[in-house]
Amino acid sequence: MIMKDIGNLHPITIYFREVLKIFEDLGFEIYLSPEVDTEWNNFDAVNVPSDHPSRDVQDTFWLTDGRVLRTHTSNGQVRAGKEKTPPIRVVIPGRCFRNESTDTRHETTFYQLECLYIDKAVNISNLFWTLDYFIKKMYGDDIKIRRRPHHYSFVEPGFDIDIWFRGKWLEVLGSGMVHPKVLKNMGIDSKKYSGFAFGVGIDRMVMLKYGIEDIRQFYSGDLRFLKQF
Amino acid sequence: MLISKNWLKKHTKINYSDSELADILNYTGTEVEEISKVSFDGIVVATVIKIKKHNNANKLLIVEVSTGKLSYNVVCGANNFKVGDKVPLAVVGSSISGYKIRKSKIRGINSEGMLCSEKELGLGDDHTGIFILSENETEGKSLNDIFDNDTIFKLDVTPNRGDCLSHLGIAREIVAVSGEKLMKDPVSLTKSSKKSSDVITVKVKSSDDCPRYFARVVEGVTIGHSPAWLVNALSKMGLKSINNVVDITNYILYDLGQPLHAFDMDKINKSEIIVRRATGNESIVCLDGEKRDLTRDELVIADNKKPIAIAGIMGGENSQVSNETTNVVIEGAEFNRKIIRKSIKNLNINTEASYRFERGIDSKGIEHAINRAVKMIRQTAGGVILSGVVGLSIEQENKWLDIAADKIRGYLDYDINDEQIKSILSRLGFNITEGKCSPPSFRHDIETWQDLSEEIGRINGYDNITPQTIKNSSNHKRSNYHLFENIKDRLVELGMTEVLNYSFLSKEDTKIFNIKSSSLLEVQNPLQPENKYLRNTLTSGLLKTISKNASFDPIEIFEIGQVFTKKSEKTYLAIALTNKSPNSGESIINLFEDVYGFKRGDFKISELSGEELKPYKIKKSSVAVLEIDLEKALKNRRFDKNLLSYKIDKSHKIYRKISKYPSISRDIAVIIKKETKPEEVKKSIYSVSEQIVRADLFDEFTSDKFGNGMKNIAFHLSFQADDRTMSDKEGDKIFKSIVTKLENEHEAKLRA
Repeated sequence: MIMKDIGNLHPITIYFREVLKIFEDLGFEIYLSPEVDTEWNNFDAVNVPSDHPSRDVQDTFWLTDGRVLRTHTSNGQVRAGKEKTPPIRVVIPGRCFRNESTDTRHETTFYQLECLYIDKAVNISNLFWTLDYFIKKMYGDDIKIRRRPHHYSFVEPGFDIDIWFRGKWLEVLGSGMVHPKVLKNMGIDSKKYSGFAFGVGIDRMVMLKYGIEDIRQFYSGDLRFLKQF
Repeated sequence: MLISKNWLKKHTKINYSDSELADILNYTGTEVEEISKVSFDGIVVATVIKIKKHNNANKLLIVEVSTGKLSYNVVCGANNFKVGDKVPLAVVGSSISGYKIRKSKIRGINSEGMLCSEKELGLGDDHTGIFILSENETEGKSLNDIFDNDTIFKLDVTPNRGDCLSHLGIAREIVAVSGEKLMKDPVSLTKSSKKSSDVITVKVKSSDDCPRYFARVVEGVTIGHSPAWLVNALSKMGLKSINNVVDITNYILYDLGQPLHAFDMDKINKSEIIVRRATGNESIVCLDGEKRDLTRDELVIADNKKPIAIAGIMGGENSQVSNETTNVVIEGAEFNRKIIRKSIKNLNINTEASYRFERGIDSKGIEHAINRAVKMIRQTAGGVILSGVVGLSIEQENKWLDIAADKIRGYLDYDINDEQIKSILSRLGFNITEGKCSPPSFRHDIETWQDLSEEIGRINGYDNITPQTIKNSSNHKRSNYHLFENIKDRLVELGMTEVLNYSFLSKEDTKIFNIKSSSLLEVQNPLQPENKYLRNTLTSGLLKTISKNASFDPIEIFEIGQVFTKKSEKTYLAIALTNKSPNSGESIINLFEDVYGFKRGDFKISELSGEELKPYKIKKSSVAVLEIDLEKALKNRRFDKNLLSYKIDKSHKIYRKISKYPSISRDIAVIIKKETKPEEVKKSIYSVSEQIVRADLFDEFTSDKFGNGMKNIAFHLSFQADDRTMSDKEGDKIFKSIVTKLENEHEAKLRA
């Protein structure tokens, strides 16, 4: 008789589920958005105009039909915003792309989780609460959290969030209050509603969790790697 | 961008330690990426007394140097010095680039220190030879007394904050927190009766392309080396010294953030400067020696014959300041940011100047920057500064916006009174009157009250904000995601492994897998040939995975992912099983029929024989592949709630690095108590050594012949070292340790 172990989920799947569960318990809905999207949804809608250097922050795969491989899950923000009416609570998991040479720390393919919350009178203290709640659920109540102001064109104000991890500050996510122009692109009146959004780079978090040294392992199809999870 | 702490002190008083300063910058939105110290403890001026060849190494020299009181023998690899030169000597006990200098023997000769290059001292990039100091330096003097002890901060300035790309800009940020004053530095210039406008003319064709252009002339300069302080200041910015005029323009760029350019006036035909678009059939050889063809998109600085610079990007060779130059024109301008951006893309160049122009400069600071520059040029290169600037400037109206204090308070959710808000804005350089404010001329990123709230928040601090819970809701909406994850759990229970393959196909792939590339979505700008097309199937990826994992048998893998055609993006599931799998295509289809109600016809099933697998470099006798369009199969179906859930795996997994060296395989079979779980045994095995990279269960069998309540359990094992090929002997040793471990922990007996 041949016996077998049970199989293995991909480590990125395992991590995503843990994170998504936290948000589902808070009442967030999982929202899926496409990997190939229009230039407008990926850039213009989230306030990254074509004649602005902030567009260079990401190296983009352009398709011959003029569309793009999304550079972030933020392409789902305006889609969700248009489709739904406030209060909006969504988390958007998904695969994103970057047109760059690969090495142990850079990949053309990576995963992000986007979180979007829009309601009346949402303010920065709500963003901070949600971030703290999420990070503490993942890393324990004793985790030290640092908030650094940072510019992302789709939010105002914007923040980078660091955690104190193995003796140093480590950036875990970018966040902020949804920019009024982005709300407008969703068809939402920014005089009535406000909201926050943030994005977590999943691959790096999974690498840290297990001590994986090469990001390319995730997409290598190497069963010596995949069968460890 | 690099910032020197000493340089900052020229703009404002700074009483902060390095880490305090880094905190201020980090907490106000300028990320500090790196902090490095420039110090020269234990490095002194020494004179070269004698140079001898090393007997045992023909590339080494034995150099005797003197610090006045003492002399030292030092073994040295460079040979760019002569007797009498003053050189930097790092004495025993000092540190150079993190490396401690010790007394050592180099090929049999004692070496009592080290002679240093510019790079080793952190003063520049030159590492080809020893840094020769000025002959006037005194022997024994510490280099700390010649070069500043300094701290260099490497900053990540976001694209909206072009105003932070200089020492002045960063000083402004610090002042907003410290409350100190910015040091005002009005420039007074000695008056000359001759005016710049007497010798040059400036014509700007379109004020839309170039809203501001100023030029000022310095006559009779002597081009030469820059003074040490200037060379040193630029080298901290990672820049090489060129000459005493060009260096000043670069200095001003890092100091004030205004890019300037110096032209040799006598190379400008008829002394006429024209700012215009390129004609479309012009080209220019730039200062980097490269010839560039210009389109009508490019804005150029030209004389009445030819372009002499690409506006805001790079100067031309034909008008550059050389050793023979005597009269210079210093240009300072503001160009249309969109034009600069387009040219950066068109020409594929980005310079320190274009980087700043693209992000926006201080419209009102240009003239000041020119005046500072000409004054410094007079100090370093002599000459006469002609009166006045030539040029044009479009008046800009101040933008006013409501301070909206209530909205700001609501957004930040803390108490801050109107006066505090105004005080922060005014420290940031805003003009304020009656509930309205106007951003300073160097800020191009302030448009709304939300922007103002960010300014208040980042200066006042965000740690004063008490997190407030969000409204909880009981949204239990289920999406396709839940079903996809449920399917994954099912397949894993059957022993399958999830893979995530790339979304791309190469041209090569389309040939091997016989995919019509005309039906595929194509990437316009792939950096790698592998990223040419988007996949329209998951099967090719799974076959590649099988081919890559030749040592595994059976292989049972699946992927759920997006596939693309020119018109659609869909979520597919694909499963691949090699012939030895306990699961079969048939059993899986049955499962999907029973559990999810999928129809048999929804699946695309391929059975590939050994012969058919050859092109994919797979050596298995057969492989079954199933592929299904999940969205189509799910359409109009309702699912029971328990099918819309997924498992959370919180178990602690220890990851072992994948080694590139060959592994050793062994099988182990033990007789063990029936109730012992295979996972527990596996855990014990892995705990023996980090070099155990695989322990796959392949047999579990209960029989009375093993004794009452006992069973046989067997694993395939692989051992691997991550730095070398493991020997059989080492493998045997690990194997023995595993046996001992299982005996001790599980009372197991190795099966004979």
